[in-house]
Amino acid sequence: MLVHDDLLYTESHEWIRVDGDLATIGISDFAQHELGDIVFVELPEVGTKVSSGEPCGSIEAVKAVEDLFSPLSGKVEEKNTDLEDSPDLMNKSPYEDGWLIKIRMSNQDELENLLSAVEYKKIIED
Amino acid sequence: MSKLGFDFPADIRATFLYDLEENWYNPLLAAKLGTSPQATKRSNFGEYNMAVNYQTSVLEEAAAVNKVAVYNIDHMAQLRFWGKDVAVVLNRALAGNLAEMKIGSCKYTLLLNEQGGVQDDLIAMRISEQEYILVINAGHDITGKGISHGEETELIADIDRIMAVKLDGEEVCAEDISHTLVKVDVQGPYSFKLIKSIFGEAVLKNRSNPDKNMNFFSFNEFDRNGAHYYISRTGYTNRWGWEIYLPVKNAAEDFKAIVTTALDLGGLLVGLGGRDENRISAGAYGLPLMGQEYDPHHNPVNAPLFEAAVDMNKDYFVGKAALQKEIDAGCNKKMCIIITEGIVTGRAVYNNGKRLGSVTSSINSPNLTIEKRLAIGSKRKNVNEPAGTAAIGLAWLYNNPFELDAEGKDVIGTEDEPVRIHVEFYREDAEGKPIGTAVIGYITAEGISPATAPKALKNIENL
Repeated sequence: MLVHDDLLYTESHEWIRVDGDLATIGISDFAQHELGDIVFVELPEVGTKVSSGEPCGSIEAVKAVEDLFSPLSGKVEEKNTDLEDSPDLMNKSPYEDGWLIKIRMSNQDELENLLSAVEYKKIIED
Repeated sequence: MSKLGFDFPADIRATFLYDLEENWYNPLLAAKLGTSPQATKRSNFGEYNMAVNYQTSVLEEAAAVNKVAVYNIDHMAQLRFWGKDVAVVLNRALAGNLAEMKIGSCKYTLLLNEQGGVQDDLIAMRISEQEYILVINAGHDITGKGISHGEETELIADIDRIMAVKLDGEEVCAEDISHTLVKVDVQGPYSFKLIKSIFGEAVLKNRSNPDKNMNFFSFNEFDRNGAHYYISRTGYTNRWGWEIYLPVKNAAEDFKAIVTTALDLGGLLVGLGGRDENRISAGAYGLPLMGQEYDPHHNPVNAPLFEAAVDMNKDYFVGKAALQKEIDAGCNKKMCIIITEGIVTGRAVYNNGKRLGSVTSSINSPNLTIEKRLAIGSKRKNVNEPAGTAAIGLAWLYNNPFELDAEGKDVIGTEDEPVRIHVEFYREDAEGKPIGTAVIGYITAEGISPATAPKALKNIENL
């Protein structure tokens, strides 16, 4: 499974790309493979306040539906509207075209709670 | 009494076909799809490491049953019971009337506990006056303690539950013969052609009237390449099809032939994900699954097939008193098909704030017509697109949601105007109060695909 070295991760298989105080969130290659074909994704609206560790949407595959947990606190700046028509982008391109939301972080200290690529690799290999 | 069930396995088990799935089918499929082989998605079913789906998606595999679907069902166990008093003992242990079965027939029945809860559902085959084979669910062959899905579990195997009701002096023997047979199911309209091309037409004939095809819920035995086979016209998809018990000696070659032929006919090897869709999607009420719609804490009164599986006219069977009490109390619960905009596993069913029951199975399906999906009234794009999906499932409701006609049968509407009862599905908090946003859908008995299983084989024998 592909794990990008320049990203941060959570134990619930989200990835985070940090650019200043803006964080782009997606789900990992491991997560999309575990879920299988994704048919529907429910994302928070732009402007919604989200809190670290709280559910903020859901991802539905053929056999299961999983909550999406916000890895960070802040305000939703943008959501990937392409996923409404093509949720399978999350399967095809989990780290690029299949991103989910961008969050304007309210507390950058929370980044310290996230996992490095090396730590995340250990979790999915267990 | 010594136990006959197996010890809890230290490691998850692999079926006889596991290596063939990984090292023969996977490369074959990848070559056919023009992709590189990927890992099969697997999960623990009855302490067996089973394929949920192969490199094809669950949706493609679920649709394969419209042509022909092959399933590795070797995780299920086969138990042989024989002896002078076998019918008496099985009739005491099981809810159906096995003494009345004809030789060569199959019967669907239930193994209950004294509280009327379902321990297992199974198919019985009567081999001779004094011999039966029972085909039981995976993991129901274990007697002992172990860790399953991360939790400590204590199991009693069906074989031990059944032999526990044998009285002193009764002559019955039992053995688990699963290691000698490899179970492969073949279902769908091309299943007749597939079986005929590999095993010959004779195996599909009625054993007492060889001019005719075999009846639904009957089986044949035959020998081939020095080994003994069983084939029954049964299956867990409600479509035309067969369950084949391959002798282990020939199983690898036979499995390859079956799968190769299925691929040639436009079918697929289907994982347990696709099979889950298949058992829900055919017929008006779907088929219950042990561990989902059935469990040891709930009785099966009013379940689909209840009357076929349970003979309340028998003087005694384990659990009968509890079922009688439930029936006498006017039990009105009902298992129904639900069509929903998304997966609603574990949610409760509400109608205008009133709790109607709870969801026991839910999976996305490729077999729902756009008309059935649009009727949900969903705002979700994937539900309303021509090639979209919505979820199908089963729910246990406290009361029958359908009105009854003069004969006491459910009024389910006409083909043009089916009865669709619109409901909401909520998550619940620890106190059982609905929380979060609702997923919407409806209860129906119109069916998603026709149940072809009992229909005459002349419909498919010349395909």
